[in-house]
Amino acid sequence: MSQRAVSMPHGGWTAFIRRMAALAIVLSAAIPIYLLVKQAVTPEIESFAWPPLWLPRRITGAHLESVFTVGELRLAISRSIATALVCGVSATVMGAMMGYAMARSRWGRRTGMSAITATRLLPMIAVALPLALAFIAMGLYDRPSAIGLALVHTALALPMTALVLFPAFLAIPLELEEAALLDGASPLRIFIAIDLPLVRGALAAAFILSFILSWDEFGFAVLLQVTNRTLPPLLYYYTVFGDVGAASALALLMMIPAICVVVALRPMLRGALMAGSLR
Amino acid sequence: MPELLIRNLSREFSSGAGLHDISLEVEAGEFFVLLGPSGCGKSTLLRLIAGLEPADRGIVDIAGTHAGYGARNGAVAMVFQNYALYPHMTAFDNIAFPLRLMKLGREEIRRRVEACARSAGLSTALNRRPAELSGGERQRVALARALVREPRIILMDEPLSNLDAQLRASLRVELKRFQRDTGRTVIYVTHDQLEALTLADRLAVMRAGTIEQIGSPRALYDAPANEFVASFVGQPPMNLVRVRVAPDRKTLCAGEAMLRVEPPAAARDEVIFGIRPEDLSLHAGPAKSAIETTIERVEFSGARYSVVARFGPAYLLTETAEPLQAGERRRFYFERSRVHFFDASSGRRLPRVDSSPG
Repeated sequence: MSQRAVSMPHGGWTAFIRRMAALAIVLSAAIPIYLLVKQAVTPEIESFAWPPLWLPRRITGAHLESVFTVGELRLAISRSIATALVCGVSATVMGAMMGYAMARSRWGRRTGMSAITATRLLPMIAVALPLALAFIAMGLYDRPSAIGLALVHTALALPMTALVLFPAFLAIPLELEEAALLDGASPLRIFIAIDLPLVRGALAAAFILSFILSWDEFGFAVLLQVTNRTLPPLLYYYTVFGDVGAASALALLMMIPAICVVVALRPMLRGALMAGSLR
Repeated sequence: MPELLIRNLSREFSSGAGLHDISLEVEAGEFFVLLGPSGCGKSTLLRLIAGLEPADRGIVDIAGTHAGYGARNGAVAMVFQNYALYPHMTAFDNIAFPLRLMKLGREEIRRRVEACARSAGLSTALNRRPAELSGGERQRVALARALVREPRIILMDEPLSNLDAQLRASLRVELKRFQRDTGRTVIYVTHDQLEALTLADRLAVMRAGTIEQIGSPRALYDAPANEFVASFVGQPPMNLVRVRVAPDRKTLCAGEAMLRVEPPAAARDEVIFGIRPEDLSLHAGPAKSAIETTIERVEFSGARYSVVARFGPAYLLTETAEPLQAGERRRFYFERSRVHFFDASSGRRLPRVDSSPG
């Protein structure tokens, strides 16, 4: 063995630095999650200890238990899931239509792009007040089903889903649609039988992004669902008025559905779908 | 009534390309080829027939029915240059797609897909996706998908151009036999003159958005209507030499070189003299004229030698059985009936002189 091999880590210095950088990135994401988990399962006194305790001394299930015994919380969970599902599905469906129009017509692209830019120019909070008033008038304000909030989230997510789906549709060769047209398919049939299956990955991505956008959304949720709350405002009230342990337990719970959606749809995000269509 | 009738069809593009005043008729059961260099509008014409693009003027009639821009209700099928197979479906589902749209029963679909796949030379690969198929198999799937609903007319846009030479040759033979057996009307686009000559019952040679000549391969080869058709059909191409007509109207001059051939009556001072490489021979004969050349280059090409011979400022291509020496003076003989004349300015064919040699 040469001395060089001893003094230098395997793969050379660049590989070592790269690995260290990767480790730093992983830790910066993992440490807050670890602390969250720790706070959720240890007595509150440990969370405020000074100097901080990095390892839990005593494990308790009391916080998680307390979270589940609160009736409001169960309602909030189902409300949040329903809102995120409605937002995910409707933003993906509408985003697919918009993205397709943008990919296939010049007018669609120009209109779509300026609409997306225009909505981004407005500070979201500026529209919240008029929106709340309009929702009161329409009876959509603070509904137990949170359907009004789901609509707002859909509107928030739509530019994003359209932008995700637009390049995916653009990548589909026009010949495929022409072939289907000559095979006797109607335009709607072509869209459903040819185009949609080919953008599966982008559809999954759009659904994940819009689901999570709704699941995390706080500003409109706190304004529009003042009594029938979704999880983010509830977590906020727990943190401000309740105890850290219970809030951590709730935050931990909030991570679960988002992770489930990503894991479930991951196979769809992969794969060279277009391979083999053309020569 | 022709199966396909096109009258004064035009399609303008802002670039200036497009189709200008195309008229043609295709009979039922005919193998009709559109031949031309890239950018001549042959694919555009095919797309207009398919209804994939609107025409600016003119009409397309399929089986006596006016066919505008839009779906053809199954009367027309198309094999795309790049096949355009549906990548998310298996070969079976690709072929079955048109039948499913017709809402046929499961058994009926299975029966017809399998029969069609068999006749297209495809039987083992039906449960595979396009990505898992070879080039030849993809080609067959595309063909089977076009055939399965039994359209009146099948359009093919350079369907063999993405295959290697060997496969192309064998599929060409198969395609022709297949068309003859089924009696389908085929309109086939290609830039390959050999493909056109071997496949076509009749062909149309196109250039810059217009049709230069329509006819059988034999007719186009023996009597090209103009200089362009003469140079485009045939490989190696026809020798075309710009010559001056001597005052005695019995001699043609190219630079210093001279040639004793009587020009057609319509010829003015200048004329294009054309002779196919295979019509030049080293052997004299009774009704033959001679052309005095200097051998410039000789290449061994297997069965024969490719020869480039200089005649005045022009070069003539031919093939010989015996090896010649570069630099050698040689005389080539040709039958006067095999000579083509084209107008020097318009390029149009000039009628041959049939008077006996003087």
